[in-house]
Amino acid sequence: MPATPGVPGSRRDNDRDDRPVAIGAPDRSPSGPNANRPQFPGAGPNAPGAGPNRGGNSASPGDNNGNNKRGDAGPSGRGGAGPVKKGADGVAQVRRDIEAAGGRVLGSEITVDAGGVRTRPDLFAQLPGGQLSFVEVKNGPGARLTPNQERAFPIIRSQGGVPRGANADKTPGLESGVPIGPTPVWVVRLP
Amino acid sequence: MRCGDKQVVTSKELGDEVGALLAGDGFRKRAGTIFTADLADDVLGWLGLNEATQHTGTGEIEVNPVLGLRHQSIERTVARLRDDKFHAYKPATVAIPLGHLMPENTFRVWLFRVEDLAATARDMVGCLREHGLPFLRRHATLAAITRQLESGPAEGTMPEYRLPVAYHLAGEHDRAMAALTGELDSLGDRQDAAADYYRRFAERFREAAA
Repeated sequence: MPATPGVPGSRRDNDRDDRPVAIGAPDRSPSGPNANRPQFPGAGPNAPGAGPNRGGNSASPGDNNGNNKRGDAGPSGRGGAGPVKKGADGVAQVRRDIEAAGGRVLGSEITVDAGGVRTRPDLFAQLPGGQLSFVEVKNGPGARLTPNQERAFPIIRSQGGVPRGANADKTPGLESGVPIGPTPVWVVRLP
Repeated sequence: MRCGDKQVVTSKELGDEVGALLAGDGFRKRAGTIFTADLADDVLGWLGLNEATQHTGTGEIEVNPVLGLRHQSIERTVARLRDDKFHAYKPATVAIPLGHLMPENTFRVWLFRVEDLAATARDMVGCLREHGLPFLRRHATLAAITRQLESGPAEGTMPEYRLPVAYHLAGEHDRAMAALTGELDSLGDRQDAAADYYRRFAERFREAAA
């Protein structure tokens, strides 16, 4: 029986899945063997990544937090194309890293109800080892979880949630409206 | 194009463009950029465009095409046992991103923008015809879908519900009950919503199978 995030058969490989994880080396040197390479469960310490070091080199005038995901300038004047591009680069890099480490990316931007709030992690993936997980990418030193993410992610990890919306039905392994069991949410922080 | 006009690709435009290209392959457009084709008795070929916009530029849509097979008897039975309303085409019983069926076997997205919407759609549908449709046609039977639920490469849609039903429909009652019992055992004393949901399903499954 394949592992699913849903109910039964859900595999929880280790305790690390139960807490927010800051993944990615703090060393911003692109020459380091693990520079900016997220480490996923099941991947070795030198899990191959791909792409150049994109961390921390945006010329964006915004706050680089990736939360203004449409690139619209907010009341503070933050945002714009810079953060959007940086967010896209970060997600693309993490997708490549997951696949290079032997995992499979299955879908993007799946809405999940948990703890009375709604959140939309960047990716849903089968990590090396078979575990199905949500992945949220934060690209840049100022990138933070949104209030809904702060609330929902621990609940998804401990109790699960309910996938909703069109993308839930278009993501292998998930079904809109059907509760999923406790499921890891990896927060990948790129410098 | 006038100054100030927004160049935006909408889901509807995306669906219409892809739908027109796929019509000749027997696919019909359903709601929400889902497409289905009658592949065999009781089996639908399935395509869903998983759309992402959070990190794209304004008006752009990044698409991960997800191919699937839907076995209507499995889905009808699962819906009945869960007391859900049966949906005619959602979800797929098993599904896999198109990129994982291509020779590179990696996640692959297509970025749709107004200026090259048609060309991008042609490219994506071309890949789908070459690598996706043969996979769907090869696996359009209950036995093949069951194998996918068991071991992939396509991912089962919550296979803990569908695998016991697939075994049951194939007349393999012992395997069906073993799969169900195995899943129940793995729940342990979990009390979350998903665990409760499955226990209710299992109870109804056992009643129906008795």
